[in-house]
Amino acid sequence: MSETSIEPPSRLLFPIQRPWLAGVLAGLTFGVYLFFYLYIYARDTKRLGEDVKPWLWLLSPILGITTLFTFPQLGEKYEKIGRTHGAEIKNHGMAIGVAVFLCLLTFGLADRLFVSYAGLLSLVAMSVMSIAVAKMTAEINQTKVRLPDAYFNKPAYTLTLSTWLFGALGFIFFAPIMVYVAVLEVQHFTKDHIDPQQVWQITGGGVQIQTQDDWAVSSIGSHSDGSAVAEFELPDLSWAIIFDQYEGQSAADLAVMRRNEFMEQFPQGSCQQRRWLTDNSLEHRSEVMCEATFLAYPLVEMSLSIDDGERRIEIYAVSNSSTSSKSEMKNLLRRLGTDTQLVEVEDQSED
Amino acid sequence: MRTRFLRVTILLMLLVHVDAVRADSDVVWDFSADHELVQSAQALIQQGKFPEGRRVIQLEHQRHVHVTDKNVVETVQSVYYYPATDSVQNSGTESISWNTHNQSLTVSAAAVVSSDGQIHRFVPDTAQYQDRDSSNVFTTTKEVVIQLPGLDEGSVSVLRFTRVLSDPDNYLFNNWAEVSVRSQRREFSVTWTNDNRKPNWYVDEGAFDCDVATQEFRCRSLLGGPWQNDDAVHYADVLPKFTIAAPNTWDDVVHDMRGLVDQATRDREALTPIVEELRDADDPLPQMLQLAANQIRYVSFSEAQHAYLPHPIGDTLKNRYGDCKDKSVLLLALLEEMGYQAYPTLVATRMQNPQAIQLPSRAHFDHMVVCAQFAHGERCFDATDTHSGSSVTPRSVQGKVRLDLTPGSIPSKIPKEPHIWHFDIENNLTFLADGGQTEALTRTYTTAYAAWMRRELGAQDASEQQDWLLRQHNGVVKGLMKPTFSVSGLDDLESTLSVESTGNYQGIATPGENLAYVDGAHWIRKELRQERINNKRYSAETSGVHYTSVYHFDLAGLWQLQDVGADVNLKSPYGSFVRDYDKVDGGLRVKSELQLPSQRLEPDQFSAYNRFLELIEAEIEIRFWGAPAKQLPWVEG
Repeated sequence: MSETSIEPPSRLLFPIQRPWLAGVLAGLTFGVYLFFYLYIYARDTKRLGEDVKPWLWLLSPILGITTLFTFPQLGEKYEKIGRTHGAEIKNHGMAIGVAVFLCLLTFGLADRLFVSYAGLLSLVAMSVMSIAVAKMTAEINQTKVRLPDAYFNKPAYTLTLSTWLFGALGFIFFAPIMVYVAVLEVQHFTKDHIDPQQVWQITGGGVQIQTQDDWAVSSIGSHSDGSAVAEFELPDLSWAIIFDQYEGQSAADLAVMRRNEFMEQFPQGSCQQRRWLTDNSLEHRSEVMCEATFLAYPLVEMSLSIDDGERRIEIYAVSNSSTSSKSEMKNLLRRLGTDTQLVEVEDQSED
Repeated sequence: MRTRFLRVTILLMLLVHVDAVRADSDVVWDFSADHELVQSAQALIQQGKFPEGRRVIQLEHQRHVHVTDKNVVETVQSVYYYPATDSVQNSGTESISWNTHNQSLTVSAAAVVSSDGQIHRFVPDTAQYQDRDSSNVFTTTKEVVIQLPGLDEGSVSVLRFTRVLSDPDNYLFNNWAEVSVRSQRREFSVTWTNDNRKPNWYVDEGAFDCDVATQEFRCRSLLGGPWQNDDAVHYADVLPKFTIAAPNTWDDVVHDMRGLVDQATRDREALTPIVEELRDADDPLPQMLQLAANQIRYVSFSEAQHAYLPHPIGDTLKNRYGDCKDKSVLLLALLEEMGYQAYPTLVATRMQNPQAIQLPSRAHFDHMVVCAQFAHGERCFDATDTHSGSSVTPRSVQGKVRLDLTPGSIPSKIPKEPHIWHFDIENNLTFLADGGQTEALTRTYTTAYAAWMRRELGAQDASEQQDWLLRQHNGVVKGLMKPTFSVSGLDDLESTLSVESTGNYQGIATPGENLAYVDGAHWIRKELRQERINNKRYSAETSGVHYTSVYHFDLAGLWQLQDVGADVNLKSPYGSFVRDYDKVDGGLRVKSELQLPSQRLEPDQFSAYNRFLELIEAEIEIRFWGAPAKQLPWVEG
């Protein structure tokens, strides 16, 4: 047993941090623990005389690609501290940096490609990052390095009161958000990305439209062009859906107008139209789907109009993304066209 | 609802025989006891307390029916007020109808008290008389027209007359709770001298206030009117009423009428050679109908006792004429001789609501047809309809109230075909190098629609047919071209009727430029617009339309098809409209089918039904787009 093993734990510079606990704490605090964790380690490393800027470590995971430089540098510092204390520590900084960067990349891609699961994936990414960092620091922890005397009166940072307080506050603050996100995210496994039953509601004074998980309320005619009720650009930049309320023309006229607009822009394109009534009722649906190739990208525009005799709305979508995204959009809009209900809801503002 | 109905109605009105005005008649004019009534009108003028308004007002209407062992005496007294010049112009004519075979008419007051209090009595020599007889019914009534003298703004008219019916065993009086003008007082009563002849009566709840006394029953209307009508609604189907009728049962009515029919068909000797000939025919049914409908001329011939008694079939065959009863019993006898399970049926040609008939009486009915049971159900034949085949019940009686002259019958409805107006279109349209288009259109009309077309075209010679068809075509396609027509199936009642037309459209498109083609599909649009329901108060029955079309577009190599209009699939409880586009070599084929089955709709359904028609109409146009197939020489230059 080494000499340092009998030293009181409160004197330790780098106490043993369990990687799984770091992952859980990062997850529970929505990733904030990771920043705190990195900051404390950088601060103590600086106390040991290394040239480290703790605030830069705070920003490191945010800036993303900097992790490829900062983590190897941290590993180098640990390697040096280990040598000073007679311990051999391998520098895994680059591997950890790449892992963290990949996590960040996954988070970004998820945000763009898998809109519905971005929140859930970000939590996973944060936890993985924290586990990776904790794994790295666990090795230097084994050396049980002591702080210089000047810092002996400082409280130990890990599992101390301040640590628990920070974790508790983070948990209290972020837990409701996490629960909400988790519920919605789980729903994505069983429900459509956009719930067709809740996409469109009309109140006495305006319109409620639901896309993704958010409700937006807009007064009729309040949009800048005077006609659109509301427009949404979804987080996925590859396609957008516009909800509009139209008057004064039939669904057939609207469909022909959309077709002509598209074909004027893309004369080599083609359009298909169909019209039907929903479930043997008088709720009239009209669909136009136009396709063309623009700058080597497949381009799709689709207009769905719904007319129940009292209201007429149009769901208009455009996509110029990959084939899979286009296919997803087509399926989504076809579902919307088939399943969307116009629901008259009580106007809460009048209560 | 349909202008076609209006057209047929006008046609029927024109067919009403209007004899020369005759001064001599059986009407008795006796104004010796009108003083009291005229003086009461004078008193009203002096008091000047009339209701506000500009339309004529019925101040009083009383009808009293007295039943004796020998006759039924009906006395009617009416007093009207004319508040404005327009009411004088529009309502200054009175008319009284009566059946000359079994009724006598006495007019005991017909006068006007003008606004200055002067009395103007009607001069009987100025009376006009009309024999009224519609083309296919057997009621024989005469009408006297009274032009009220001295009418001016603010005047009051009085009219009183008595009709005496000589048959106390068959009478029917419908007393309506309201009429088309505002009423202040409408009172009706019936009395009888012998309790064995106590009449039947029926009163619609809520519309009358009634009292019973010894050998008397009287009612006063609680409704003030005016009655607001709707399209295609007959007042007898909907108006609240107090009905008085002879104490008969439906079995009595059926038994009596069937006895008269049997009497007319008893001697069938004249049928023998006809039946022998029919037995050799592959399908004798059309021949039998043709004989009764087309080879026997329709003549209203209800003289003497023949108001309800048909003439013997031998007489009808010999004369080659007869009314609906005569033709029907001839057809009935033929059907029976050929082994069909046939029976005569009385029809109320204006009524569609059997529930509106509450008391048994043959007087509800004015027409007779023959119905028979076939493997696929019942079919009825109207021997006065000279344009319908034997494959379907004529449109004129479909949906009408009936009474089969078979034991146990009560009023019901003759079933209505789901699609009365059935026609198909095949249109071949070929684009021309000059931007025009040739059209070869074939319209094929089936069953009732074919009969309607035959009625329109049957009596015209070839040039008149061309003119009529051109007017019809231009009325639909708005005179974009002048086609030539040929008609087939006009004389064969069992076949469809086809109208083929060919012609050229000019300036449809510009070769060498993009093509954005729109075809208005005007034929189906016309049908749709006629199917709208404009009623506001009463339920309505849609007539039933089945339309199919196939349009072939030949682009003639001038354009390359880019894309087409919408595939349409509109299905609702009111019917369906389906359209499909098929790209074919060198062009396009567009198939459309519209089905609006006949159905009765309540007022709360009209809006949805009309919206369905509007949705269909919005999809009617056939559209397609094309790009120039090649650069044309003159474009390149």
